[in-house]
Amino acid sequence: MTTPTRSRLAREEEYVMVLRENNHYDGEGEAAMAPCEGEGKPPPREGPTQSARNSLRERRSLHPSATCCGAPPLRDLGDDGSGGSSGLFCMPCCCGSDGDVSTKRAKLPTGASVGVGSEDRLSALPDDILVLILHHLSTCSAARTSVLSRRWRRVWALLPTLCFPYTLDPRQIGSALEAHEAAILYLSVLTQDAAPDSVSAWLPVAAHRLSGNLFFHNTVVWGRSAQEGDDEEGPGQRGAFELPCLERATNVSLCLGFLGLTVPPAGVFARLTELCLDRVQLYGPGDLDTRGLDNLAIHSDSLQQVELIDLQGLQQLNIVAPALEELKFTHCFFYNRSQPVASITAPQLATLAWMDPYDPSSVYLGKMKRLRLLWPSFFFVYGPDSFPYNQSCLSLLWRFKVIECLMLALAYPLVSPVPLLHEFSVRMCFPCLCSDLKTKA
Amino acid sequence: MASEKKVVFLRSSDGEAFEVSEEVISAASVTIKGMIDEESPSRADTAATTTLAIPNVTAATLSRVLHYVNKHFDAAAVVGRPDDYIFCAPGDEHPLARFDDDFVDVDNDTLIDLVHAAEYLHIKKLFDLTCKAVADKLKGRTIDQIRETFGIVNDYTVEEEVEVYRENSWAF
Repeated sequence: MTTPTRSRLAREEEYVMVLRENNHYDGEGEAAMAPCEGEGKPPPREGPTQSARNSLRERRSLHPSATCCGAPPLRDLGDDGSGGSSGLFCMPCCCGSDGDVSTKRAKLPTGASVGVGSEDRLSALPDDILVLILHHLSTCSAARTSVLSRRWRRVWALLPTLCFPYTLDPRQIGSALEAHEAAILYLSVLTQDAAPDSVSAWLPVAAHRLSGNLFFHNTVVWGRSAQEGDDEEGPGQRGAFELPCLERATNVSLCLGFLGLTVPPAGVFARLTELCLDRVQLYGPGDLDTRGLDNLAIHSDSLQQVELIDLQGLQQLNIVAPALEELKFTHCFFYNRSQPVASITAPQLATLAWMDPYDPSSVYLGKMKRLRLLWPSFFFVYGPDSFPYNQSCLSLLWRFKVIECLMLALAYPLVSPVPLLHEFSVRMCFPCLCSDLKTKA
Repeated sequence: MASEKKVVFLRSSDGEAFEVSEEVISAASVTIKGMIDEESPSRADTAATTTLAIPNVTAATLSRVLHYVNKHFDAAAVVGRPDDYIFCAPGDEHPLARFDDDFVDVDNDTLIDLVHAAEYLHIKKLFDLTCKAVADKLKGRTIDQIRETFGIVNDYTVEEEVEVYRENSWAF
């Protein structure tokens, strides 16, 4: 394979994320998506004994005659070591005449009256069923069940799916993962403005136990365009965390809000089938003081889908992936004014989205006999002849003799009574028209 | 014979027999389908209908399960095709969503019986539905309310409870 990138390869540092093949799939990749539903605000944090006391006090006030039927009197949790007693739950069934109680019972949902005082059949369910029940709750709600009783202490820790929401302090994710016991088939972590060291606190823990999907989305609260970032905030200013080896991960999606990511010189991601890097500032090891990694190489026999979005500072891309079926490459060279340099060898590719400058003299696209869908960057309909993106779009179209399915975004200048300040401001406000044209050779 | 609908009888743990279409119950329950497949060589010779013993499920629960199965798996009774959400306009709920809601609006013991039965009979849709219904009873409740609802006895010592709270403080 001769690539137009040879000279650059020679003079620039090169880091290769070697994604070696190891075709032993266990089918573990089929982790179910867990619902990460929003839930009611958790009860205010207070000492357990305090909250238990409060609730007991509340019950006591509802049932002034709790001992009327011979049930043992209520004990405060602080009284002795035993915590609760079975008598605790038989009050409503024997005090039906109490006005307060009947009002209280009327408010309870269907079935509550049966549960009260009857044997605990829920806890008697086997672990695997309880785990499937907890699977319908958010991870935090599921973990809260650990305080119900000894039976429940470790049930949540068997969940194969963990979703940590924005509201959780990212520094606590590490301790949550340490308390968790089972293999993780799906891990979703959402953070806001996470500090790199907070990520370093949980990611290595997760890396050991993850054998499926990793989805990490870090949102930056105040908006910052990619161009500003280069000028005003030097690379490395946000810091970077190290990407550990995710040996058993099948899908990795990192959307980092330009948080730095130090990639190992050669990582082994043997089972990876899907990789998405979105707004990631890549660095090589010990590289933080430089502009960051400008050369990304992905060699993988297992990858089927790759999506690279807004990788700032990337100047060169090299992909060799015999199994790759879908490649989406968006805005990585877009803000660079230099020549796009890439070499893609993916003979099985069926979908190619290339929303980036394309120049046939420096971008090598290997044989793609199975390509079905091509999605070039937008075409600016009334753009000047020299408009670089139109050239890119047309060059990419000319690269292929037959395009079965074409997604082409046509951009028109906004017709506005307000005179546009300069030519390129048009880019920010055009309405996009997406047309799906079928062409035959 | 082909025009005639084959039926099987299911005998509950307390001895009551229920008639159900073989086709419907085979589509619904992996366990019963397996039982029928095992029986079928011997059945071919005789015209007698099969009675299958379901030792783990009581009559009350079994009749509920069959009610669900007939609603969800009997092609003649189902509006459109079963499980085909494509025919629903956006915003429309699945035609059986209301039935499902009512079906699991039962007391805790009945619900847990249904969980057991769905698991034993291997009826995935019913199992998912009932597990979700139990989860819904846990949702939005405090620990004390959950204990009260399901009769869960707190057997932690104070020290242990403090420890568990501390270990899982991130979740609160």
